[in-house]
Amino acid sequence: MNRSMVLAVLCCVCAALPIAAQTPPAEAMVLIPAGKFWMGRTQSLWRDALDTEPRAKRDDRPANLIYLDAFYLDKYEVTNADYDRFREETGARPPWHWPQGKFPKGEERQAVSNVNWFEAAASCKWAGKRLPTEAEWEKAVRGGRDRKPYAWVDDDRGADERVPAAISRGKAMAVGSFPPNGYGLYDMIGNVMEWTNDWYDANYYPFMPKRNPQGPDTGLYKSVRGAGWSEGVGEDGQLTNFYRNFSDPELRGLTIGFRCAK
Amino acid sequence: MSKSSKTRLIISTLITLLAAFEFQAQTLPQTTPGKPVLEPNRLAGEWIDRLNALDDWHLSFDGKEEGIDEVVNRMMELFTPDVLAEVPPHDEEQIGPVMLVGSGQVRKWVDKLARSHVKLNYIIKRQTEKEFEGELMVYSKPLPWGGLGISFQVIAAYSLRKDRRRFMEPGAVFLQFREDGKIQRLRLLLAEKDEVVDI
Repeated sequence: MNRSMVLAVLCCVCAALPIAAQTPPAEAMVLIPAGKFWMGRTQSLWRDALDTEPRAKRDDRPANLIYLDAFYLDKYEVTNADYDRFREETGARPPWHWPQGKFPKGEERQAVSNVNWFEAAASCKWAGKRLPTEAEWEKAVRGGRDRKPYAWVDDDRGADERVPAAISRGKAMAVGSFPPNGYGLYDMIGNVMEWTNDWYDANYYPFMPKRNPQGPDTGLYKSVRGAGWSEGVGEDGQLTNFYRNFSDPELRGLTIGFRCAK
Repeated sequence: MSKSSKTRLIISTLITLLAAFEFQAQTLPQTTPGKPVLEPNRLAGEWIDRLNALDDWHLSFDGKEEGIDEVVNRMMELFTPDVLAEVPPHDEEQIGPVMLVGSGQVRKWVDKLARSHVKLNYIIKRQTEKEFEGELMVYSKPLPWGGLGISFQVIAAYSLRKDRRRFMEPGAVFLQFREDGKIQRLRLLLAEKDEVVDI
């Protein structure tokens, strides 16, 4: 009786293992479904007509209809506490603004910043994850609101409603302080900008692959997406879903953090 | 030398100089070697001809695309290495103007056009008015930094290679030529895309 019971339990465990491998890797991740979305800016802006903007800043055009496989993305940006666990286990250097190498008390849930691209990528890898591609990030920020400039509402509302996020503040805030987007992701715009895995190329969009694009093969800068806490409310262009930014991968910035994908 | 012979010498010298001036005024404007005369109608015609020739290649018996590189190369001969171009989206999976930076990106666009469009027929719009029939309307202006800017209206007609659906689009072309006759700026604007159907 006991032996058959044990066998039955073992069988159940064995059967459950492959299923477990397919289930969400962590409760704090959101499944972004497979499918197509418009990546880049689909709208014209006044500055296009004025023709006064440097050509390099038209890096968000043309918009492309992109197919992505399903993927998981962290619901929140990586926090100080998350990064501290990675630091303790791997010996990685702490962000330089942490006094004596420890984050200030009460800032456990604050989005981590001052980590360069290599440290962000290593942290994701340590957690069994990876940095999202730029395309994955942009699909995620839209929250299912395809071809819209803002993640939360249509663009005929006031700036505060358009972007209910941590902007125009002195520093990063606790993650999840503002409402999530349509996919249930927090702080995609605002709080900290986020490293992506892709190299940045201002001229990438005209001929980008239409299926699971991985970014240029090489480059000088890594793509950084999402506005940071220091952006002004009036700087609407930088608060849009399609706005692209970039940074030297070696650089640590107070406004740049990350989240991981799987 | 006597006074009268001195006067004759002065008069004959003046006549010679006048004749020389007259002759010089009648000769064609001199061009510096390497700097061709930038003639707007010819420049517009050459750009259109080479664009329309992008479908001038064939499939071999074993299905190979033969002659594409040649027609693409001929088109690319017109551009400078640092050309900047703004062209319409390549396909229905793009929205917004496509900015191309450098001849490498322009070549990709030209190559894609050659491989995906057939029966290319871009026409420079002509105008008939009073006794003037079918005048080529190519507008031009010397550029302050040297070279020539030209623009003209076009009717673009083409078929898609994949399904042979045919489209027409009115539009305009803006080209800026350097002094050596190479294109440094291109803006191709097309609008009101209509499918051409048999009735």
